[in-house]
Amino acid sequence: MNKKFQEADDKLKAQILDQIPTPVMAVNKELIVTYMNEAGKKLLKNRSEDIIGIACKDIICTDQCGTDDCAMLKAMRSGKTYSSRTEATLGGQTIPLEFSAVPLVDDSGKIIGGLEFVLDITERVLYENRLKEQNHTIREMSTPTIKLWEGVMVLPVVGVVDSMRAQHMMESMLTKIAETYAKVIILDIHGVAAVDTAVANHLIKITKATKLMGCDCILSGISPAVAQTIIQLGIDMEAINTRATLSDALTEAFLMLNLEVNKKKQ
Amino acid sequence: MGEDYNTSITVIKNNLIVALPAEMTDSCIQNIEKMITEKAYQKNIHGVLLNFSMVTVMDTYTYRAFEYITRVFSLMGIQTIWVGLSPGVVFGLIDLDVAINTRIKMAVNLEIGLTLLN
Repeated sequence: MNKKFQEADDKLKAQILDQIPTPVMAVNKELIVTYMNEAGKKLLKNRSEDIIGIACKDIICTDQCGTDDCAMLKAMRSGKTYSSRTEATLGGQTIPLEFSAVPLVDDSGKIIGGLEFVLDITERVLYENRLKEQNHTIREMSTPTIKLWEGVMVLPVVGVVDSMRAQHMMESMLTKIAETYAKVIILDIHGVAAVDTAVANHLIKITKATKLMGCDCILSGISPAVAQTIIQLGIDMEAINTRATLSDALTEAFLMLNLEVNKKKQ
Repeated sequence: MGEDYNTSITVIKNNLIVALPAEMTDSCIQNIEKMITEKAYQKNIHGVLLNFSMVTVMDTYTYRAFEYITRVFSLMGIQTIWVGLSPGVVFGLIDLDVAINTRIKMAVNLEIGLTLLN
């Protein structure tokens, strides 16, 4: 009776393994494939007889195959689970995969091989790449450094300034200064809704960086509300040249460059 | 010897132009300091341009060392201008949170540096 149950149980287990929609593969200590479920066979477009007994690197070829980075070897050596991402070549096609390698132990607890389950993440990688591209586009759009006059650049900031964006702003400003030899850069924060300690800190850092490049930085577009918050927060902005509006900042920049704007005589 | 290679010192109209090498060891900076202070004393120098445009790496120590040199020159009545710090170097210094001395004059290139001296 017990044996019958056991057999039925075994059959069910095999069915369960075969019906899991992701490929599951088992190898022995020499990395020879000992088991592959239906989903795996489907992915490989191969029949069971051709797979079992072949080295796993001959079926799923990745960059980690045959190196110390092989997750299966690592899992077998340490007895821990390893998850990683890789790209595998299957029948001439390269697909991104996410896999977990688990050591396979017998009843006595000895490691006899490894089990690997694989997820095809082609869709996810596509999505991630698109997201990255969009991020890049938005970042490029959000930090335009514009030449306003000979030696005067302006960087209008709109939206929220976080540390990533502040870094990108600094990068864009510094490269532009190095390219154009600008002497004055105006950082217009008119479009920044809220200035807190963190944002102020970023702005101070940016002005210091431009100073090191030999370029003076004027902070403009400080609305009354922002000015009040800065004072209430007790932030020391004395080291920075600040102006209320962009036109004030431009006047200051002209002064710095010894330029004069005159009305044409009639 | 051999430590201060790649450092060129030029004198133009009582101004000293020092082109610094890409990487500098501590002893290298000390050598440079010794060399340029002596030269400035001998040749009746009014201004010094430290050209960093070739410098690729700069840590807190290097920054401090050159700030120190700048102060030494200012004590000798010589104006010092830092020229051509590259964006990467500046980024690194800001990342290291170096306390930047805003009184030191900086310029983006040699030409602007020279006009600042005159």
